[in-house]
Order: sequence, then structure tokens, then C-alpha cells
Amino acid sequence: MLPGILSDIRYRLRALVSRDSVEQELDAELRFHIAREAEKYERQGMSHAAAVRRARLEFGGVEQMKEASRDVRGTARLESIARDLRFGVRSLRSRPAFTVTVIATLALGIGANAAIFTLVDALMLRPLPVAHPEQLVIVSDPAQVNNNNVGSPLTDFVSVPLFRDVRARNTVFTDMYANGESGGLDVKIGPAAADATVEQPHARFVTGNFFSVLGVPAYAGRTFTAAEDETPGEDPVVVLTYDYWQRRFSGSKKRNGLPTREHTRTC
Amino acid sequence: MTDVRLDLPQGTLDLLILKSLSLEPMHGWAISERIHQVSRETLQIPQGSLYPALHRLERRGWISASWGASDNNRRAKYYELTRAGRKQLETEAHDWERLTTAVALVLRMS
Repeated sequence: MLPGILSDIRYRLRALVSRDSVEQELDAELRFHIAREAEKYERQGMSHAAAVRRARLEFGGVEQMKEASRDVRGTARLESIARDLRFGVRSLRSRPAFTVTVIATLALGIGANAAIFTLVDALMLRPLPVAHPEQLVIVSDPAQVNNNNVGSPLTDFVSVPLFRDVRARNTVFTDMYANGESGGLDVKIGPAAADATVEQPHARFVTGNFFSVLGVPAYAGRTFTAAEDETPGEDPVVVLTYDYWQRRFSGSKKRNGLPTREHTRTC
Repeated sequence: MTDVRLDLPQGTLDLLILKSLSLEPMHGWAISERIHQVSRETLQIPQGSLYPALHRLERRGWISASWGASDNNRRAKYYELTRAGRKQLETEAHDWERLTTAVALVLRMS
């Protein structure tokens, strides 16, 4: 059965791909037959013209036979689809303004869709890349419940003593952390820090237990130690995000000089 | 001697073509002539069925085709039996024998 299927596929592929030569072959094959029949009649004594005429008559409808052979090929549906496609392309090409408009509209639509989806996917559909995203909640001012800005670092201000108090006394959460936007941070990086150019990376201020609460270990190096969390503003330790590390330091694990803060924010 | 056109039962044409080609490669016209002569001019294959049958057999892989020069130096499409075709011929010839024997037996009953 397998060789039968293979030869079937090969036959049909040939009929599709080199359709012209297949048609020519068919034509030549039938012509040859008619010619041989005509010869036979000529040998029996007919004139050349009469022989040819008789042979053609007896042969029957050449076109019908060709159609029957084409049916046998079994590629009729594919061929008609191919023909329709070619026709479509031709008519599009003959109206360039229309075609360009359609293509541009489709491109914009598809592009916009893809962009929005990527955004929605990253923000809403993907779970947060932390240990137990379903256990994360935002704790905020009770007066702000149902407010769109709940949990926003721009409007929710909590003092460190209040945070510590709530954390110590809470009986609901295993742990709590606090974080805030750093705003503009001027940073100089490198061993010759004083002469380096100022950079302004994005950063967040976080309490020392940020990584342990979320259950996210460091990819390389370490996160914060408990000692560093003791006094606010005392130990300026920086943990780099993976992307920033790749971009700015090319993922190098060498120790580079401590970044110096030009702008200090006290909490 | 007039040739009476008998109606071949379905599928018999394939059998006749395969058998003809089992002797030597031939082009379509030669197959038709050979069958006509060997059957003592009883069987005349209508061209309308010959070529579609040939192409069908070619598609099934039982015969293979190649272009060559005929005896009067014209280009013709020659068909020859493949190995799968030979096996198919055996099967179909065997089935034909059984069928005709059975029919003959029934016809002979009184």
C-alpha cells in the first residue's frame, strides 16, 4: 500500500507543479495514437486525408478524453484553487492603490492587535514571576478601598515606623514588605566613580525582606541581609534586575566598584 | 469478420492492460492493437477508456511511463509493468479465473 501512496503523491505533485508539460504530454500521446490509426488506414488503401479524418472520428472527443485523464489525476480541486489564487493576485496587481490601502490597513490592525495583546499578556494574563503569586495582596489605607490608586507608590505613603508596627503586629500575613519608586536617581558607576558620567537607571526602594517575602532568590550574587535592613538609609545596597545587569554590565560577574549615589533620599 | 463491441465488465480493462504489459513495454496504441489481435478481433478497446485507464494505473504505481522513440522514430509514451503491478496482475488474474469458473458453473446448471 505504501508504494501505491508514494506513486500517487508523486503523480499528483507532478501534475500540479509541471502542469504545462503534463498537458503537453497528454496531447502528444493522443496525437500519436491518432497518427498510428491513420497510418493503419492508409496502408489499407485510404488516402492520407481520408485516413486522418477517419482516425480522428473514431477516436472520439479528444477534449473529453483529456478531461477524463485530468479527472484521473485527482488534482482538480487543487488546480482550481491555484487558478483562483492566481486570478486574485492578478486583479490585485492591476489595482495598486486599493491593494496598498488594504495591506496597510491589515498591517496596522494586526500590528496594533499584537502590541495590545503583548501588553495585556505581560500585565494581566501572565502570573507574576514570584513564588506564590496568588498569595500576594496589597495592604493600604482603608479609606482608599476601591480606589484606582491603591497600591500605587505615587499616592500611598507609609512611614517606616508605621510599616514596622503593622508588620510586627499583623496576624494575617506570613510577612510584609514595603517598596517605593526612587524617582530620579543619579548614579555613577565604576572604580573611578568620581569621574564617571552620571547615569539614571530606574530603581525602587525596598525593605530588606523584599526578596524573601516574594520567594525570589538571586540569580547571581546575593540579595539583602537582615543586618542591612536594620537602620533605614544606612547601607546603600543595590540588587540589579537581570535585564539591567545584561544591558549595563553585559552579565559580567566581576566585581565593579560600588555605585555612588549623588542624590540621597532619606526615608 | 466484423468486430462486435462487447461491454467489458468493470475493472477488466485494467487486467487486460496489465497482462499486455507483462510481456513487454508498449505505448497506448500498441496495447490497444495487441488486445484486438490476440482476442481474435473480438475486443476493441474504446480509446475513451484506454487512456484514462492507463493514467489511472500509472497513478496507482502499477505501471510506469517513459518517453521513447517508436518504430517509425516518432516520440511515444511507453508504459511498463512495475513490481507492484506484477503482483496486482497475479491477484486480479486469479480473481478473474475464480469468477469466470463460478459463473460458468452456474450457467451450466440445469
